[in-house]
Amino acid sequence: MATVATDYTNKVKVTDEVAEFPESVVEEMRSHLTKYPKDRSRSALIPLLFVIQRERGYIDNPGVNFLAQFLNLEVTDIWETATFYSMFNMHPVGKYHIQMCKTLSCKILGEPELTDHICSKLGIKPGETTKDGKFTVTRVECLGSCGTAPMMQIGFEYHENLTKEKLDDLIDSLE
Amino acid sequence: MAEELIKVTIDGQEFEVEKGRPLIDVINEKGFGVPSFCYYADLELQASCRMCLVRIEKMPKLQASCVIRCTDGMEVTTKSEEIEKAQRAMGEFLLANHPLDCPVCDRGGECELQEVIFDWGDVEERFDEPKNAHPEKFLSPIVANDQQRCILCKRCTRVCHEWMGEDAIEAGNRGSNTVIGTYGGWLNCSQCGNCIEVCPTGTLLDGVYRHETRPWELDQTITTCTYCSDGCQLSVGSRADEVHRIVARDRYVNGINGEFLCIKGRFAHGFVNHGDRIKTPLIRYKKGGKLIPSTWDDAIAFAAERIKESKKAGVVATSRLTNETVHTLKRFADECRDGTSYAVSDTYDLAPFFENLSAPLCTHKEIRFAETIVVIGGDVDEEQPLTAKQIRQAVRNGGANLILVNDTPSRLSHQASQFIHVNPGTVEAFVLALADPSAADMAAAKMGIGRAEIDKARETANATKGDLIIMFGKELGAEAQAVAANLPSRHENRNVKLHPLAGYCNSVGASDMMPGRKPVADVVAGSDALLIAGSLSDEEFAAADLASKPFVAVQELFLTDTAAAADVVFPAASFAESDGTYTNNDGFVQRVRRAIDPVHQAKPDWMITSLLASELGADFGYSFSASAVFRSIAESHEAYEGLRYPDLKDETRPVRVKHKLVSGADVSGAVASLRDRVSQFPDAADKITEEPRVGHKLHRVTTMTGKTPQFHLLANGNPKPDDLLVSPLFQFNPDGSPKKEEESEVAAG
Amino acid sequence: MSVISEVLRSAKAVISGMKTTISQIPKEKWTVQYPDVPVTVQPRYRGQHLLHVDEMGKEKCVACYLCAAACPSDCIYIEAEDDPRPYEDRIGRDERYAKVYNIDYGRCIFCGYCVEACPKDAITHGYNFELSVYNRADLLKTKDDLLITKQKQSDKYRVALSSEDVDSEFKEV
Repeated sequence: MATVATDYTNKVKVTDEVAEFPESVVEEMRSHLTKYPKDRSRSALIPLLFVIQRERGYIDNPGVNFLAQFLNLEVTDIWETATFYSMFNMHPVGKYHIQMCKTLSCKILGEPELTDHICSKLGIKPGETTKDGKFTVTRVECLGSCGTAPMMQIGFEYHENLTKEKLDDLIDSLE
Repeated sequence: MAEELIKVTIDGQEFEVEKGRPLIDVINEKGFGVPSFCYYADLELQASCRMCLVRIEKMPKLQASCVIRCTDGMEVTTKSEEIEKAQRAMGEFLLANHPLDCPVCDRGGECELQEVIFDWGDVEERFDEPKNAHPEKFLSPIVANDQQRCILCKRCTRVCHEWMGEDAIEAGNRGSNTVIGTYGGWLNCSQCGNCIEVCPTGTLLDGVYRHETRPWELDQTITTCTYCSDGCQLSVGSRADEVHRIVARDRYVNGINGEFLCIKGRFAHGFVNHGDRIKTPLIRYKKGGKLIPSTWDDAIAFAAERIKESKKAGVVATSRLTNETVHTLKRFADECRDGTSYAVSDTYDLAPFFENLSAPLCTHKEIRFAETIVVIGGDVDEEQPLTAKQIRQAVRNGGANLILVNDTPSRLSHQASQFIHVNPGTVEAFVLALADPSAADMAAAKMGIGRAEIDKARETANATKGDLIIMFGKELGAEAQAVAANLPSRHENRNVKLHPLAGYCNSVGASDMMPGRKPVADVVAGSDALLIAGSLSDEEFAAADLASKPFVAVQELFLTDTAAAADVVFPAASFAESDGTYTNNDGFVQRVRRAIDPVHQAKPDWMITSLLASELGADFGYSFSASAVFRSIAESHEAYEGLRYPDLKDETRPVRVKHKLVSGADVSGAVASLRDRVSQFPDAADKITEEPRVGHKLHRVTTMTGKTPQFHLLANGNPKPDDLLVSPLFQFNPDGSPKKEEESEVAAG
Repeated sequence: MSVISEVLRSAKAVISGMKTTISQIPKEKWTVQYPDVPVTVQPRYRGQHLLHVDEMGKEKCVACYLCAAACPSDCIYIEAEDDPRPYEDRIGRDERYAKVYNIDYGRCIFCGYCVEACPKDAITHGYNFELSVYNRADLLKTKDDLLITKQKQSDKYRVALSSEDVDSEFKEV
């Protein structure tokens, strides 16, 4: 058959499976709900997505189904929000999630070369995870630190004013 | 409503317009014309395409006219060098990732982007970065999706959300990677195809019409949908006597439904040119013999002779037939033989409703702007999609109160301001509770709800100042219908309107055409020669035992169970092949127009009946012209008095049938018998809590919808194929099992 | 007028006429002995259409109907179809191809608009000009008659490809 579609959303196998969480986690989710007006419960989506990601490693299908029931939303609504933000992973990622900012300032100041460098060092392409499951490299939209471009984010930590040497040191220190 | 009029100056000309109207509407209405992609009337505003830029005096920058409301003294310039420069720059941005593959794009020729760019003549393209390329893929058997043609106007997501209430399609990712899609890449929804319709480019495409022809090759015929009773106006695209597609695009047709259609209206047209259509008249010369192809002359003569020989004849019409046909059948019953009985096969008979009608029927536009809507029973989402869309917009955009009384939760019940979830089969009790407050306690107990819920609904209805619309479905029996029809006359609010959720495209018309009809079972049992136009429902067919009847003649499109049991079968013409009218549940009588010549030897139903009648010696005064039949209708039915085809030619101004209003009719008898009925309902029952699957009725495979292969896949769970680039039709068998495995099994075996 | 002057005038006319005739005899001949000798056609001659294929033998036509739309005499009839198979098994180069492609040479005026309209360079004018048939219905040519891989080329023409040939056409006579 013809070549397989490249859109990564196709890889998600949608099932009816709903994730189960311990009572303490559900309680935490409920506490997020209380921060918003009763008829605006969907506003709690982003804090809840963080909880799902923390509990399940990434935003997986059973987690999405759970949220859809919890907030009375359609799965597509959750997909829309979760894919918009680069801090939510729709697919399993490595221990260190390296997010290279690819927007204007960083790009002008050499982000493509840095990404190529880090990818060739790790032996992967952007969007992939190393075989040992340690690193994932993705290129993301602006992370809001244009003044210190080029920059990247590992986990929730910013690393700014990057150079190839700085990158090498950083990767080595993580290994 | 008298709106405040203000003065707006557009390009130096002064106009008086209503205050607060969207500026873009006014500009386009006055004939100035600004291009726009994301603006869509009556949807939430988006202002993402930035094409409708205009210069408004005293505003610092160019303004997007779709989000500007008219205010007094506004001075607008729509054409200047500055504006065109800005628009061209936006066009260049839109084309930055838009592939120029118009020759293979099914939207080519009626693409809004193509038209705007083509008008400019040239657009400089300075982007030489690699494009964000995606292959064209399928989102469902019916919807094809080419992501890179998308200009992110988000009309599809807004339509899905606001019209259908489904949120099945959304924009995912961010920035230049944004695509329209779904979670998991597969679309599980009611497949209405409205996203395809409103798409200004070729991003979402019709999977049924895929790569069939080009829009300018098609003859567009404005006609009325043949499925539900909403009577949507649509445009049949035909070429070389073949129906290729059905659209409601406003460049072709502008009826009560705007661009809205449901899956059946838009995609289930495969039956028209299907190979299984009956090709010639068929005769069964001897009981137990075979149906043998014959000529029209022989078949008509054979049928006429048998009807002459019979002791008592009967005529059964169906509510999918045109008014012309049902009228001709009625005349056949009246004029050919004395004592011929007649019936209409329908999901429920509306006679008690129209006999007691005390308020006008409401139009779909009135539903959109209603203040309170009470829906008693029915399944609007699945059976009357346009009504459901209007209700949804009334609630979402107009802030209407929706009181939904049903035994099954549905999509609409999420939006209801009050969802009265009653015990199964006890919907009628709510009508009783409204009509007779003294019986409210008993009704509430039978429905399994608190008395307070009924009082709350009553309060909402009483507090309504605007339109109060009462809809009811097929759950209501004859007494309940009569009581419901009488409700407005006992209500203090005089803006009460009624809306029957009738079953088929011409349920209302067939009811008008055949007054004094009997139930189908009585007619079948009481006659030994039957003329059936259309097919009986499964239950009616099972009860009828047609094989034991001395003679049965059937006019049908396909060899259904009813036709297969007949002694003579006449090939009838479908809605796309005949002229006529349907009367919808608004009471609008709307034209059905002939888009293609009748396939094979088919003839319009009314023509078959009148041929048979003239063989039996009756002269109806018409034999070839549908307009002559309609004249005969106008002369013999009070409600249709004075109407002629030319009056009906404009689908933008549908003509209302004048149903007789009975005010202050005494329905105490009906109320009493309804009270008896309700009191016999069981006291306790388990409520149905599970919400049925979206499309459980829309995707059903019937004689007509089953001829479009995509419906089989949808009815069998809409499986997601491994390869999204190839139509699921090539990957699955009609029963939903993958094709490949079967092949490999054959190879292995 | 006398008889003598009339004879003289006639003789003068005959001589001047014969002078032209005789002076042409040694010059190059322009009459072609068709069909014994092939006719020379120019490179941009508009003969019977050719439907082209790509280097893999797949039809270039994507059935966009632009040729039919451009045709002033409405002689082109197309029916498009979807071919979901992979490229190797396909008939056409694209997923969309023309199931039916007919040109009615009873109507075609050889204006070349179809060739100009084609976005895929799938249709061009060939050089075949012998289109006369005994039966009018035979003037309707189908895809089998038009495809470059199937169309039989006549041996009764010769394309003027060299610059010398082109020049000779416009030589001062």
